[in-house]
Amino acid sequence: MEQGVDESERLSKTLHRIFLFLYLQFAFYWATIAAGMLVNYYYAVPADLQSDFASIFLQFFAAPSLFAHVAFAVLSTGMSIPAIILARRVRLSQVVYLHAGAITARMVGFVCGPLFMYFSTSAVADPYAANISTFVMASVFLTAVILTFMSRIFIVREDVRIKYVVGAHPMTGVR
Amino acid sequence: MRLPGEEIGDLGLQGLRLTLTLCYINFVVYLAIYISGMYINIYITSGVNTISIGDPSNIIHMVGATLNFAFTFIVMMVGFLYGMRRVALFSLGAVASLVVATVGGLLFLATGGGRQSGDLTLAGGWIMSLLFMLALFLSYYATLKVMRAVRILEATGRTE
Repeated sequence: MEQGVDESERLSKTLHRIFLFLYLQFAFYWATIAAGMLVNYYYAVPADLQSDFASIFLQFFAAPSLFAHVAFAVLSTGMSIPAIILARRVRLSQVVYLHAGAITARMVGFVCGPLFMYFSTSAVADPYAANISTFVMASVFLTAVILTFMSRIFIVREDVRIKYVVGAHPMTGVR
Repeated sequence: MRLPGEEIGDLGLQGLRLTLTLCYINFVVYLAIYISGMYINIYITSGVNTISIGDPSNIIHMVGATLNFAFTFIVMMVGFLYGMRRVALFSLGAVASLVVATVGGLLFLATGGGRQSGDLTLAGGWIMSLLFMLALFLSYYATLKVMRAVRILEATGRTE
């Protein structure tokens, strides 16, 4: 009985740590959007930008809004790593898969962002491909947000199970 | 029913499930607004063109925003009337954000509707997008609170 209660407390603490990382992740998501809006409305790809990797990469440091957008995107993606580690500890496989999916979606976004710049350079000048790149970038961002939102549903479910099913009946608790 | 540290409210399991369904529908509408907004931003204005209030994609966008407001307002009232303070406050924040975001959107349209229309237009667009995302997050937290209440009632086998 004592062991069951200790186990419940340990699980509960781990779940609350995951909650903390998810709060941070959502704050960073929001900051990414805020900076993204600044980029969207105030930043323009310079006419003299070269269509090579180094020039495009250096653009991330050219404007504060662009730098903030990328930095917050990296931070929000990074928050999925501790969430995955902690979710593995409490054997919440759905949360692990959802966050792995979110990271994968963001990786696609990290490719499409620079691609937008590449297609916007005067040497390439392909507005159709630039539009598609932006659309994909925004779509995978939303996919990542939805996946991490969904992960919280499973964490809440598990938290309630620990408190009201396992906590109440330690030997018979079922998922 | 009162459980320490939890907000179950007085709505009962059936009512909470209905509210949760409304919250999920609200998310589908949020998704429609995000996609239509993204479409307008990328394919209609494309950084230089303007958009008018009567554009079909803009009408879809505004109808979606109105539905979002209505659904979020209902969830807020459920929170206030049935003793779920956090649901009410998160939804109140979302409703306020949606109102200011709508003002931002109208400012965007009224001052030109294009990114080259001037600083006021840009500010309107920026406020609209930022507060929409804030409303989405606040609605999400309200949804989680409703979902938690449903799960608790289910786990404890109570229906009221």
